[in-house]
Amino acid sequence: MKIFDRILKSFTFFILILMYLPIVIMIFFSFNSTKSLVRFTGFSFRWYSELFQDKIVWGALYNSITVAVAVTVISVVLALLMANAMVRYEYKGGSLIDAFIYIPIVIPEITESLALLIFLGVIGFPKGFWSVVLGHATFGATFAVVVLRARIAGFRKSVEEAARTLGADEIQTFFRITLPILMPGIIAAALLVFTLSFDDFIKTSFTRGVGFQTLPLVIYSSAKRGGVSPGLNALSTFSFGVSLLFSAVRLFTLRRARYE
Amino acid sequence: MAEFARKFITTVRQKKRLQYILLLLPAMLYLTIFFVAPFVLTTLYSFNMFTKARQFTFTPSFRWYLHAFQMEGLLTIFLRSIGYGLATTLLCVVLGYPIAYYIAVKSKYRDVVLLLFMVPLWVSFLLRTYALMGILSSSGLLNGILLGLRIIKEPLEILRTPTAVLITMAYNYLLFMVLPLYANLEKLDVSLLEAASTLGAGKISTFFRVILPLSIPGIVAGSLLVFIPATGEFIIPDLVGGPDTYMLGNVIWLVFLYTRNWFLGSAISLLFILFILAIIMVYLKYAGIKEVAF
Amino acid sequence: MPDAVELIHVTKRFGEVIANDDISFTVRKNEFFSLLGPSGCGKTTTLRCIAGLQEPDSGIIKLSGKDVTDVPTHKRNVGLVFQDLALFSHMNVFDNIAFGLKMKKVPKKEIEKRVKEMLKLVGLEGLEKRRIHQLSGGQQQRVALCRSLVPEPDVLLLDEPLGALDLKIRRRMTVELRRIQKEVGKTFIYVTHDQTEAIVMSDRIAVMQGGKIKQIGESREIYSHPKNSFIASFIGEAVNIIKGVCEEPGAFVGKKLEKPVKVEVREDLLNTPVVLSLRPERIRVARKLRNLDNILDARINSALFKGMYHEYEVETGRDLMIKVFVPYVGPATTFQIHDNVQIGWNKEDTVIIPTS
Repeated sequence: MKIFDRILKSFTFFILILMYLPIVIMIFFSFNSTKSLVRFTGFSFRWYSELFQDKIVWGALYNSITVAVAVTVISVVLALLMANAMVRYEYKGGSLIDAFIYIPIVIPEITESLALLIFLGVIGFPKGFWSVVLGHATFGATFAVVVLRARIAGFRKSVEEAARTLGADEIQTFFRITLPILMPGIIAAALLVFTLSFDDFIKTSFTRGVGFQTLPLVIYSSAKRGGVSPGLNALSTFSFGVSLLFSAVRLFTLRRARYE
Repeated sequence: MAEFARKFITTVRQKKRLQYILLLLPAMLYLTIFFVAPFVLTTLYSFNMFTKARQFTFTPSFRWYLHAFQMEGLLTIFLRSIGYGLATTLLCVVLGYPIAYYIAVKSKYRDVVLLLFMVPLWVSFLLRTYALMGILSSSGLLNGILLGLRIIKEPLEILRTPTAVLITMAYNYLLFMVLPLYANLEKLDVSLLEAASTLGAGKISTFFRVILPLSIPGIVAGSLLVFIPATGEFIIPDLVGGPDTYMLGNVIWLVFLYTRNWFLGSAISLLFILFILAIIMVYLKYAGIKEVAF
Repeated sequence: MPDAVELIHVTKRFGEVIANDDISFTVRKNEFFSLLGPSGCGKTTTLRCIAGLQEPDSGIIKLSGKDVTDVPTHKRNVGLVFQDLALFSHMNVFDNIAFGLKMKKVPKKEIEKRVKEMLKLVGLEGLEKRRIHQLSGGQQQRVALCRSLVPEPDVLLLDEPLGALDLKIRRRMTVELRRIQKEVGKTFIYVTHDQTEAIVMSDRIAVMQGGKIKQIGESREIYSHPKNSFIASFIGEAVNIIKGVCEEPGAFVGKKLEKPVKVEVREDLLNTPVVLSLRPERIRVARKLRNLDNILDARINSALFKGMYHEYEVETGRDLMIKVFVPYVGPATTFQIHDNVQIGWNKEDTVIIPTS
């Protein structure tokens, strides 16, 4: 059935190319010297230079990054504690805690976002940087727990016990033994959370209040207003570049850890 | 003070249960406050238990649910959402199955091909949708090619049509179907296929009688991963669709951020959540049965 | 001089299971002491209680005469070699071994000196910079040993450390461990289910079963005078167990025996159900035997050549199968299946013990 196999292979790669096409085109035309999205007239950085002179863009970028960093720190710390507890102590509370982890992942983001909006409104929490961070950290923490749990399960308790028999108390054991061994998993979780937060749109738009912009918000409003444009392509390409960077690093960390 | 600290540390050391609770506490507390509580409030709002000034009042009532049911077009939109969800799922299955099959069974460089498919996932949903916008728009690439090849005389208005929405949905969600299917097919025991052929089954019979039935869990898992988010999708109808493709997500968005009617929005949300939970329940029951059958 | 380790009425439960049931024993200074028993007998639990990794439900644990029952692990100064070695994969060999000294805040120069000495002792000089996954199983073993010995613990505990090694390396490490223990002059408590290891290495052995200590003594003592039939079967390569009773002192009768067997028996075991324990290597086999307390007619049922000896199974009495080990020294000691022979032994070659 060699022909059949060939058809399958061609089909797969055809779809693969179709998947990449929009993104590649977007990147490609962001370097176009004219506004056209069809004819490439010449290579130019003009859209990028316009981009980098835009104060709103810089503000949004700054916000996106600071939010993502804050979210990452909070999520990873919470997740580390929780994943630690879940793996070491096999208690019957297991399924309830599993619900806490998996429901946020399954629930559509829009319902989660509006619920948070209501909550923040009722308790009178000021909207801005922190409301966005706290919102992101809910799914950030749960995703991080899932990643960490997988890593921690392979972690042997006996290494910690060995450290204790050699004179290390609980805190020394954690910082000298546990943390270094878990580091690749922690980094992987951190990078995942960062990317999720940086790219987030729905929850951010609900919880941000007035005036607080992040990169995805700027991209969205530009797309709504003016449709597709090379300038927006440039912005999108840039945003994509940041996510790509973090995802690639995450991939390499995981690859390297597998060889340890 | 130091004495108390020392006593506390000794107790924590000894009681494993206490250690467990202390470790779990921060995350659980956080999730309870910022995840559970909001949903509780939403439920209360949907039952009219707040005032316009955001004070809690005990006045439970179904009026907002009734309002939702009487809302013009809500049922239409709800059905439309389900329709789009099902259509997307179907598209993803049809397109995704051959791909998953190829990678899992036939491909020699599985890891590489899988990685190649995952890279677009690193682009955020929003950006992927926007990128597709670029191609589908009237001044975009698709039209450019079709016009250039003189297949059409005037640019096709693909944006703002259901077609655009469907294409974008399939584009965004395809991978959510491929990955679980791949995981399922990858675990397929080759010896089963060999056994089938020694028993006289040709390639087609083997596929329909052995491979397909065994890959059903993967199809179901993938379908769930596609259907649930797709039904609640908001960005895609908003950017590449038009008012006549608006789905549940858009309705909730409009009700909340434009009319600021938290009551109605909550009611609609809750209906949506119940719908999703129902689907998950069905899935869990089905998954449970499947386990027994094996 | 106080004993190195003392357990007094230690009990530990895990839910319904009683892992340690009123355990009491002492380990003397510089002794190589083994806890021997089948899987699940509670020996690892005992070890972990001594280390402080498990807290007993009741009882007292003393180290060098001091009550340490409430003292946390990192203050007990015990070393523990884990079954899975538990080496720190993110550190190299040197840092692994130096860890205990670092915790004790020993100055850097001294750490270097002592680590190097220890590496020499076990034959691993020059491997300081290697990472753990670059070492062989036997080398990792020795690193784990060094790591726990270098901080000079009062007692070294070993939890079936040789389990993951190949047979030949395991046999070699058994001898190595004993040598190191003697050279370093420390108390070792060794947990294992392999009775050959225990017999070769230990000064004294404690046999455990079902959470209890059944017998403590030197290897030879336990081997030739096991206290019950469980211990008799567990220790040693093989043993013949014959059920019966002693109605009068000096004579053992069993359903499968045609006539009484001459034995030595304790008074308190008379007229109670007992077993006769007879080691295969203590039985003589020949076509005709003389001058032995007990001689029985038998027929060779199976013969296995094992290099150093023949393992024969002979049928005697009423359907009674007896295993006999005969050193192979030539055709005189070789028999064929269906040969009619005689087997024999003296009173002191057997032990009468209660059924466990």
